Amino acid sequence: MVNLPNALSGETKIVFTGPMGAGKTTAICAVSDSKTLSTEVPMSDGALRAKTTTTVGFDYGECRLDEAHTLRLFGTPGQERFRFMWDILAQGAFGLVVLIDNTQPDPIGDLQRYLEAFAPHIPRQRTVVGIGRMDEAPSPSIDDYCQRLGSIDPLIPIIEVDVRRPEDVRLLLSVLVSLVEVQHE
Amino acid sequence: MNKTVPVKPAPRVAFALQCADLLAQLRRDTAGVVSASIATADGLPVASTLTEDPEIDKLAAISGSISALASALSRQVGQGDPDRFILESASGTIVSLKVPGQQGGMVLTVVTDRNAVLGKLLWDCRATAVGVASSASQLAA
Repeated sequence: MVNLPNALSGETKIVFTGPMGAGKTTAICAVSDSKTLSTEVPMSDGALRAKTTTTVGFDYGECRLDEAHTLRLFGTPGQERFRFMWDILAQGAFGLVVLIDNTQPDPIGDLQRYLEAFAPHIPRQRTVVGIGRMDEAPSPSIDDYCQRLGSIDPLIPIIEVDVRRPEDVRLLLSVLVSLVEVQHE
Repeated sequence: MNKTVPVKPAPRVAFALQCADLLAQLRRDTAGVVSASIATADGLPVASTLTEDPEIDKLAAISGSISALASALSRQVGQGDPDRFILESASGTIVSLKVPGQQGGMVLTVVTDRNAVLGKLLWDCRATAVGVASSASQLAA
Protein backbone atom coordinates (compact mmCIF):
# COMPACT_ATOMS: atom_id res chain seq x y z
CA MET A 1 0.00 0.00 0.00
CA VAL A 2 2.61 2.54 1.09
CA ASN A 3 6.20 2.45 2.18
CA LEU A 4 6.34 2.38 5.91
CA PRO A 5 9.48 3.48 7.64
CA ASN A 6 9.58 3.48 11.39
CA ALA A 7 6.54 5.70 11.69
CA LEU A 8 4.30 2.79 12.65
CA SER A 9 4.87 0.06 15.15
CA GLY A 10 4.24 -3.54 14.15
CA GLU A 11 0.56 -3.46 15.05
CA THR A 12 -1.30 -0.20 14.83
CA LYS A 13 -4.81 0.47 16.06
CA ILE A 14 -7.10 2.42 13.75
CA VAL A 15 -10.64 3.41 14.77
CA PHE A 16 -13.48 3.75 12.27
CA THR A 17 -16.32 5.92 13.48
CA GLY A 18 -19.27 7.91 12.15
CA PRO A 19 -23.06 7.89 12.32
CA MET A 20 -25.20 4.79 12.05
CA GLY A 21 -25.44 3.64 8.45
CA ALA A 22 -22.27 5.39 7.29
CA GLY A 23 -20.63 2.05 6.45
CA LYS A 24 -18.13 1.35 9.23
CA THR A 25 -18.84 -2.38 9.38
CA THR A 26 -18.83 -2.61 5.57
CA ALA A 27 -15.55 -0.72 5.32
CA ILE A 28 -13.77 -2.97 7.81
CA CYS A 29 -15.09 -6.09 6.08
CA ALA A 30 -13.96 -4.69 2.73
CA VAL A 31 -10.27 -4.48 3.65
CA SER A 32 -9.82 -7.13 6.32
CA ASP A 33 -7.57 -10.02 5.44
CA SER A 34 -9.48 -12.54 7.52
CA LYS A 35 -12.94 -12.99 8.94
CA THR A 36 -14.04 -9.95 10.91
CA LEU A 37 -15.57 -9.90 14.36
CA SER A 38 -18.96 -8.24 14.48
CA THR A 39 -21.44 -7.34 17.21
CA GLU A 40 -24.37 -6.42 15.01
CA VAL A 41 -27.89 -7.02 16.29
CA PRO A 42 -31.30 -6.40 14.71
CA MET A 43 -32.60 -2.86 15.05
CA SER A 44 -35.62 -2.80 17.34
CA ASP A 45 -36.96 0.55 16.23
CA GLY A 46 -37.17 -0.11 12.52
CA ALA A 47 -34.83 -0.34 9.57
CA LEU A 48 -32.80 2.53 8.15
CA ARG A 49 -33.15 2.20 4.37
CA ALA A 50 -32.00 -1.37 3.67
CA LYS A 51 -30.11 -1.50 6.95
CA THR A 52 -31.75 -3.84 9.46
CA THR A 53 -28.90 -4.40 11.92
CA THR A 54 -26.70 -2.12 13.97
CA THR A 55 -23.37 -2.48 15.78
CA VAL A 56 -23.70 -2.33 19.56
CA GLY A 57 -20.20 -3.39 20.67
CA PHE A 58 -17.52 -3.03 18.05
CA ASP A 59 -16.30 -4.43 14.77
CA TYR A 60 -12.80 -5.80 14.44
CA GLY A 61 -10.67 -6.69 11.48
CA GLU A 62 -7.04 -6.75 10.47
CA CYS A 63 -5.39 -5.31 7.38
CA ARG A 64 -1.82 -6.35 6.70
CA LEU A 65 0.22 -3.62 5.07
CA ASP A 66 3.46 -5.56 4.59
CA GLU A 67 5.53 -8.24 6.27
CA ALA A 68 6.16 -6.09 9.30
CA HIS A 69 3.04 -3.95 9.68
CA THR A 70 -0.57 -4.80 10.40
CA LEU A 71 -3.42 -2.38 10.99
CA ARG A 72 -5.89 -3.46 13.64
CA LEU A 73 -9.22 -1.96 12.63
CA PHE A 74 -11.87 -1.20 15.27
CA GLY A 75 -15.33 0.05 14.28
CA THR A 76 -17.42 1.91 16.84
CA PRO A 77 -21.18 1.80 17.24
CA GLY A 78 -22.64 4.82 15.48
CA GLN A 79 -25.48 5.64 17.79
CA GLU A 80 -24.98 8.24 20.51
CA ARG A 81 -26.25 5.99 23.28
CA PHE A 82 -23.18 3.81 22.80
CA ARG A 83 -20.84 6.73 23.31
CA PHE A 84 -19.21 4.97 26.25
CA MET A 85 -17.84 2.50 23.69
CA TRP A 86 -16.24 5.34 21.74
CA ASP A 87 -14.08 6.27 24.73
CA ILE A 88 -13.12 2.65 25.35
CA LEU A 89 -12.24 1.95 21.72
CA ALA A 90 -10.31 5.20 21.27
CA GLN A 91 -7.84 4.30 24.02
CA GLY A 92 -4.45 3.60 22.48
CA ALA A 93 -5.66 4.33 18.96
CA PHE A 94 -3.12 5.65 16.54
CA GLY A 95 -5.45 7.05 13.89
CA LEU A 96 -9.08 7.83 13.19
CA VAL A 97 -11.24 7.30 10.09
CA VAL A 98 -14.54 9.19 10.17
CA LEU A 99 -17.16 7.96 7.70
CA ILE A 100 -20.07 10.23 6.83
CA ASP A 101 -23.33 9.48 4.99
CA ASN A 102 -23.98 12.46 2.71
CA THR A 103 -27.68 11.62 2.39
CA GLN A 104 -28.31 12.49 6.04
CA PRO A 105 -29.94 15.83 6.91
CA ASP A 106 -26.81 17.47 8.39
CA PRO A 107 -23.73 15.50 7.35
CA ILE A 108 -21.29 18.33 8.09
CA GLY A 109 -22.78 18.66 11.57
CA ASP A 110 -22.40 14.89 11.96
CA LEU A 111 -18.72 15.17 11.03
CA GLN A 112 -18.13 17.99 13.49
CA ARG A 113 -19.73 15.98 16.29
CA TYR A 114 -17.53 12.94 15.71
CA LEU A 115 -14.37 15.00 15.34
CA GLU A 116 -15.11 16.72 18.64
CA ALA A 117 -15.95 13.44 20.38
CA PHE A 118 -12.63 11.83 19.43
CA ALA A 119 -10.41 14.90 19.67
CA PRO A 120 -9.45 14.19 23.31
CA HIS A 121 -8.23 10.71 22.35
CA ILE A 122 -6.78 10.86 18.83
CA PRO A 123 -4.87 13.82 17.36
CA ARG A 124 -6.55 15.54 14.42
CA GLN A 125 -3.28 15.19 12.51
CA ARG A 126 -4.03 11.47 12.40
CA THR A 127 -7.59 11.75 11.14
CA VAL A 128 -9.07 11.20 7.69
CA VAL A 129 -12.67 11.64 6.58
CA GLY A 130 -14.56 9.57 4.01
CA ILE A 131 -17.79 10.98 2.58
CA GLY A 132 -20.15 8.32 1.25
CA ARG A 133 -23.25 8.27 -0.96
CA MET A 134 -22.28 11.46 -2.78
CA ASP A 135 -23.76 9.93 -5.92
CA GLU A 136 -27.16 10.01 -4.20
CA ALA A 137 -26.61 13.37 -2.51
CA PRO A 138 -23.97 15.56 -4.22
CA SER A 139 -24.51 18.37 -1.73
CA PRO A 140 -22.73 19.30 0.43
CA SER A 141 -19.70 19.02 -1.77
CA ILE A 142 -16.17 18.25 -0.65
CA ASP A 143 -15.46 21.99 -0.96
CA ASP A 144 -18.38 22.70 1.36
CA TYR A 145 -16.90 20.34 3.94
CA CYS A 146 -13.47 21.94 3.61
CA GLN A 147 -14.86 25.43 4.03
CA ARG A 148 -16.91 24.54 7.08
CA LEU A 149 -14.11 22.55 8.70
CA GLY A 150 -11.45 25.11 7.93
CA SER A 151 -11.86 26.67 11.32
CA ILE A 152 -11.39 23.32 13.08
CA ASP A 153 -8.49 21.91 11.11
CA PRO A 154 -7.95 22.76 7.45
CA LEU A 155 -5.48 19.92 7.09
CA ILE A 156 -7.84 16.99 7.70
CA PRO A 157 -8.12 15.09 4.39
CA ILE A 158 -11.70 14.71 3.16
CA ILE A 159 -12.25 12.12 0.44
CA GLU A 160 -15.30 10.83 -1.43
CA VAL A 161 -15.58 7.08 -0.93
CA ASP A 162 -17.75 4.08 -1.59
CA VAL A 163 -16.93 1.86 1.37
CA ARG A 164 -18.14 -1.22 -0.49
CA ARG A 165 -15.05 -0.83 -2.69
CA PRO A 166 -11.93 -2.15 -0.95
CA GLU A 167 -9.72 0.20 -2.97
CA ASP A 168 -11.61 3.21 -1.58
CA VAL A 169 -11.15 2.06 2.00
CA ARG A 170 -7.49 1.28 1.33
CA LEU A 171 -7.14 4.81 -0.01
CA LEU A 172 -8.37 6.20 3.30
CA LEU A 173 -5.89 4.03 5.18
CA SER A 174 -3.09 4.99 2.82
CA VAL A 175 -3.75 8.67 3.36
CA LEU A 176 -3.85 8.13 7.09
CA VAL A 177 -0.53 6.30 7.06
CA SER A 178 0.94 8.96 4.77
CA LEU A 179 -0.03 11.63 7.28
CA VAL A 180 2.02 9.80 9.86
CA GLU A 181 4.97 9.53 7.52
CA VAL A 182 4.87 13.26 6.80
CA GLN A 183 4.78 14.01 10.52
CA HIS A 184 7.89 11.90 11.01
CA GLU A 185 9.88 13.55 8.26
CA MET B 1 -41.04 2.11 42.90
CA ASN B 2 -41.03 0.64 39.47
CA LYS B 3 -40.25 2.62 36.35
CA THR B 4 -41.64 1.69 32.97
CA VAL B 5 -40.37 3.36 29.89
CA PRO B 6 -43.15 4.83 27.75
CA VAL B 7 -43.23 2.99 24.46
CA LYS B 8 -45.75 3.39 21.67
CA PRO B 9 -47.99 1.85 20.50
CA ALA B 10 -50.32 0.67 23.25
CA PRO B 11 -49.46 -3.08 23.10
CA ARG B 12 -45.85 -2.21 23.78
CA VAL B 13 -46.88 -0.16 26.78
CA ALA B 14 -48.81 -3.14 28.06
CA PHE B 15 -45.75 -5.31 27.51
CA ALA B 16 -43.53 -2.84 29.36
CA LEU B 17 -45.96 -2.89 32.27
CA GLN B 18 -45.91 -6.69 32.34
CA CYS B 19 -42.12 -6.59 32.34
CA ALA B 20 -42.14 -4.07 35.16
CA ASP B 21 -44.34 -6.41 37.23
CA LEU B 22 -42.00 -9.35 36.61
CA LEU B 23 -38.96 -7.26 37.54
CA ALA B 24 -40.66 -6.02 40.70
CA GLN B 25 -41.46 -9.60 41.66
CA LEU B 26 -37.86 -10.64 41.08
CA ARG B 27 -36.59 -7.82 43.22
CA ARG B 28 -39.12 -8.51 45.97
CA ASP B 29 -38.70 -12.27 46.14
CA THR B 30 -34.96 -12.73 45.60
CA ALA B 31 -32.46 -11.83 48.29
CA GLY B 32 -29.87 -9.26 47.39
CA VAL B 33 -31.40 -7.94 44.16
CA VAL B 34 -30.67 -4.23 43.92
CA SER B 35 -32.07 -3.59 40.48
CA ALA B 36 -33.41 -5.45 37.47
CA SER B 37 -33.78 -4.10 33.95
CA ILE B 38 -34.92 -5.25 30.54
CA ALA B 39 -33.44 -3.76 27.38
CA THR B 40 -33.70 -4.57 23.70
CA ALA B 41 -30.71 -6.29 22.11
CA ASP B 42 -29.74 -2.99 20.52
CA GLY B 43 -29.67 -1.19 23.85
CA LEU B 44 -33.01 0.53 24.22
CA PRO B 45 -34.75 0.43 27.61
CA VAL B 46 -37.97 -1.57 28.00
CA ALA B 47 -38.53 -1.64 31.77
CA SER B 48 -36.49 -1.25 34.94
CA THR B 49 -36.79 -1.14 38.70
CA LEU B 50 -34.50 1.88 38.56
CA THR B 51 -36.16 5.28 38.62
CA GLU B 52 -33.69 7.70 37.05
CA ASP B 53 -34.05 7.97 33.27
CA PRO B 54 -30.39 8.71 32.48
CA GLU B 55 -29.30 5.72 34.54
CA ILE B 56 -31.90 3.48 32.88
CA ASP B 57 -30.87 4.60 29.39
CA LYS B 58 -27.16 4.12 30.05
CA LEU B 59 -27.61 0.73 31.66
CA ALA B 60 -29.74 -0.39 28.70
CA ALA B 61 -27.09 0.66 26.18
CA ILE B 62 -24.26 -1.00 28.14
CA SER B 63 -26.36 -4.14 28.59
CA GLY B 64 -26.88 -4.36 24.84
CA SER B 65 -23.18 -3.87 24.16
CA ILE B 66 -21.86 -6.31 26.73
CA SER B 67 -24.38 -8.96 25.74
CA ALA B 68 -23.25 -8.68 22.12
CA LEU B 69 -19.59 -8.75 23.19
CA ALA B 70 -20.19 -11.82 25.35
CA SER B 71 -21.81 -13.53 22.37
CA ALA B 72 -18.89 -12.56 20.15
CA LEU B 73 -16.42 -13.98 22.67
CA SER B 74 -18.38 -17.18 23.08
CA ARG B 75 -18.75 -17.69 19.34
CA GLN B 76 -15.08 -16.88 18.82
CA VAL B 77 -14.04 -19.77 21.05
CA GLY B 78 -16.54 -22.12 19.46
CA GLN B 79 -19.12 -22.23 22.22
CA GLY B 80 -21.99 -20.60 20.33
CA ASP B 81 -24.30 -18.02 21.84
CA PRO B 82 -24.21 -17.88 25.65
CA ASP B 83 -27.46 -18.07 27.63
CA ARG B 84 -26.12 -15.85 30.36
CA PHE B 85 -23.00 -14.38 31.87
CA ILE B 86 -22.08 -13.46 35.42
CA LEU B 87 -19.86 -10.65 36.68
CA GLU B 88 -18.73 -11.00 40.29
CA SER B 89 -17.05 -8.32 42.36
CA ALA B 90 -16.46 -7.59 46.02
CA SER B 91 -19.66 -5.55 46.09
CA GLY B 92 -21.98 -8.06 44.51
CA THR B 93 -22.98 -9.79 41.32
CA ILE B 94 -24.36 -8.81 37.93
CA VAL B 95 -26.23 -11.41 35.93
CA SER B 96 -27.17 -10.88 32.29
CA LEU B 97 -29.52 -13.26 30.52
CA LYS B 98 -30.73 -13.35 26.97
CA VAL B 99 -34.47 -13.25 26.54
CA PRO B 100 -35.38 -14.89 23.24
CA GLY B 101 -37.79 -13.07 20.96
CA GLN B 102 -38.26 -11.12 17.79
CA GLN B 103 -35.72 -8.58 16.50
CA GLY B 104 -32.82 -10.10 18.38
CA GLY B 105 -34.69 -10.58 21.62
CA MET B 106 -33.91 -8.72 24.81
CA VAL B 107 -31.44 -8.66 27.67
CA LEU B 108 -32.32 -9.06 31.35
CA THR B 109 -29.73 -7.44 33.62
CA VAL B 110 -29.90 -8.03 37.36
CA VAL B 111 -27.64 -6.28 39.86
CA THR B 112 -27.25 -7.67 43.39
CA ASP B 113 -25.40 -6.93 46.57
CA ARG B 114 -23.44 -9.51 48.54
CA ASN B 115 -26.58 -10.99 50.09
CA ALA B 116 -27.54 -12.79 46.90
CA VAL B 117 -27.21 -16.56 46.75
CA LEU B 118 -26.04 -17.35 43.25
CA GLY B 119 -28.03 -20.53 42.66
CA LYS B 120 -31.28 -19.00 43.83
CA LEU B 121 -30.51 -15.83 41.91
CA LEU B 122 -29.93 -17.67 38.64
CA TRP B 123 -33.05 -19.77 39.10
CA ASP B 124 -35.21 -16.72 39.69
CA CYS B 125 -33.59 -14.77 36.86
CA ARG B 126 -34.34 -17.65 34.51
CA ALA B 127 -37.98 -17.68 35.62
CA THR B 128 -38.20 -13.94 35.00
CA ALA B 129 -36.65 -14.26 31.56
CA VAL B 130 -39.13 -17.02 30.68
CA GLY B 131 -41.95 -14.80 31.85
CA VAL B 132 -40.75 -11.88 29.76
CA ALA B 133 -40.35 -14.10 26.70
CA SER B 134 -43.85 -15.47 27.21
CA SER B 135 -45.30 -11.95 27.42
CA ALA B 136 -43.39 -10.95 24.29
CA SER B 137 -44.69 -13.92 22.32
CA GLN B 138 -48.25 -13.10 23.38
CA LEU B 139 -47.70 -9.55 22.17
CA ALA B 140 -46.40 -10.81 18.84
CA ALA B 141 -49.31 -13.25 18.37
